[in-house]
Amino acid sequence: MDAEIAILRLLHIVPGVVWVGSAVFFGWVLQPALKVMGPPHAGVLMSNMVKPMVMLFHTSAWMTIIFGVIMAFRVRDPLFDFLWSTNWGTMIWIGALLSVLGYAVGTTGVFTSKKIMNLGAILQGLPTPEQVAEIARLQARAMLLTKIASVLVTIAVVTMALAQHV
Amino acid sequence: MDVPLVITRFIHVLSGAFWVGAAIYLALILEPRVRSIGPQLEGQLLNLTSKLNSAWITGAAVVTMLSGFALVSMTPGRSFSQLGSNAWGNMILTGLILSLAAFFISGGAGAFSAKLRRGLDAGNVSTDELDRYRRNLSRLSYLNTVIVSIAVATMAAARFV
Repeated sequence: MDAEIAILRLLHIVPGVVWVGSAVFFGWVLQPALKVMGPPHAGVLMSNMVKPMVMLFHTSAWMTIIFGVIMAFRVRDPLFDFLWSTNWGTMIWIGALLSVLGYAVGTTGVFTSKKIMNLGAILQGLPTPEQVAEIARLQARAMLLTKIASVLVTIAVVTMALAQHV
Repeated sequence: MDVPLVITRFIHVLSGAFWVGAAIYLALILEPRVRSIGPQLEGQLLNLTSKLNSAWITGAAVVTMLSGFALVSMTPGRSFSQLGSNAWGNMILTGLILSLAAFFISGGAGAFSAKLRRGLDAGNVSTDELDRYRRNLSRLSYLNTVIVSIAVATMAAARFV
């Protein structure tokens, strides 16, 4: 038994599954449901949920990326020769690129959600039509970015999972 | 490249990731936050999301297990006869048993979620009874999270033991 690889694999795959699964669940199931629910309930829940959610996404993403890089160096030596010259390597670097892109897009979505919450926090009384329009624009943007991020990390996980078969 | 094997693995990985990720998200993020915003909003949110969550998660769990069975029979050098008879088979069998346990525990959590939703809607269920539903829902959700995580870990490490 290769204990080191088994442990690295667990530390890469379990957080990876949490990252991808929760991103897909949030982007394609929960967020559309919250949109249907509308204000004020959706806003209350989101402002209550955003901090632990961001912690979960960042922690799982960083663990996945860091242990993935360590594992890649351990399973193929010298890694960079394999990355550019084999089908396995091509799948792995494409997956890595997509996951980093997905993380960046998802983080941009979080910043957009925080902007919405900041706007909500400074509102006194009913919002003006301009503020309503701005919140709607930011919400649409945050939803789109979350969906794009979830698609990117999903393709990343599938690409990496299939690397050994191509 | 074995295309049917690749497609089956694709389906297994995708549905499995969704199952585990959604279960963890629900147990650790959504349910505690929904509970903290008060019973009125809790009822409305449960009405809107609980059936949807159950449908998606149950669907993903079924697809994960079926595609997992298919993978065992399709993977070169592997078969059902190895389950429980070598190191790889022991890990896969353990993962399979844990997945089935998680599936039924998740069903139990869904049942308490439905009771809670109906109780909040009806308005004639005592606070103690509602709290009991919430506690059971929480316990089962956390237990489900732990079990699916171990199941994924067991299966992911199977090739290396």
